[in-house]
Amino acid sequence: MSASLTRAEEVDWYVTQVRDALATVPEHLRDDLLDDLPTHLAEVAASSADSLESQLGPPDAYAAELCSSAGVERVRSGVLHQWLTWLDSRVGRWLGYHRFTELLIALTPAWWIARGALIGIVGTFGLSMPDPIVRLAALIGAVVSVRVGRATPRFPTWGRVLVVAVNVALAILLVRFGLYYSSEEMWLPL
Amino acid sequence: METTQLLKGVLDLAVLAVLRDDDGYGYDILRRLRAAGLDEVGDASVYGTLRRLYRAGCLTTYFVESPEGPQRKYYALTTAGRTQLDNSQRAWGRFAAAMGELLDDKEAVDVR
Repeated sequence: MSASLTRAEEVDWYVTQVRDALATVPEHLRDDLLDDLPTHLAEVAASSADSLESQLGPPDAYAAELCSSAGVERVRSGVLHQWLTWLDSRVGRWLGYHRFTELLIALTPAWWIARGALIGIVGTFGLSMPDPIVRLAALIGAVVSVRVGRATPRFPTWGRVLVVAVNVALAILLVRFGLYYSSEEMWLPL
Repeated sequence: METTQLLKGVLDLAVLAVLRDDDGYGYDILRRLRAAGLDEVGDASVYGTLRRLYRAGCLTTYFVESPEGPQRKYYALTTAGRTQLDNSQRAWGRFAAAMGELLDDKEAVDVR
């Protein structure tokens, strides 16, 4: 990104990115936090030939650290968000967690395995392959899915959107599978 | 516990201490902190702390004309800031002594 920009343009770019990351912060606080930034970035830029991002980290991480050390809340506290947060801890506590999202995060690898296995099974079973092939496909699918899952945070935005779309489609498929097979009392050849 | 965890709790004290004898501007304060050995402290953490201390009334700012470029914003301790520094330093001394006791390591107690 920064190779094609002059240092001044890079500083402006970084400041804009940090400002955008602080969009939900009240304006007077945001201006206060950003007040020192351009001068600081200019000095950082002057101190080394490396890009700002390599010296300071990505702008949104910088913004997060700035807010956390300044004691400023970043999240917009609308009514819906507050209610969801309350629901998150309520349901979480029923299950023995501080928040429900903690459980969801803990289940992420299990989901990766399930979705990968499902793709493998659907692909091969749908093509009427013999059982050992289906099982192998499930295994390979699971392994690939875990690798993808670990790498997803580094994907560009369109990549992450694609992954979410695939996840949703597979979740729907999984639910339909579950309903169909449990009602017909048929079990997958595993 | 890594240094970053320990740092979060004492960055206020570190920043106030840096400004005890000499006022400083942002980048200069960062440099002094790192020169003292706190090289893992993040830029954003220091600036965020400066703004929080400023809003809490522990720091004041003034501008100084700089020959090389735009004016620099300097931070200085207020009276309240000095009081905070003294209190925090005493608290730190007690805390370090207690940790020294727990760790049975007399070297950890040498804080002035």
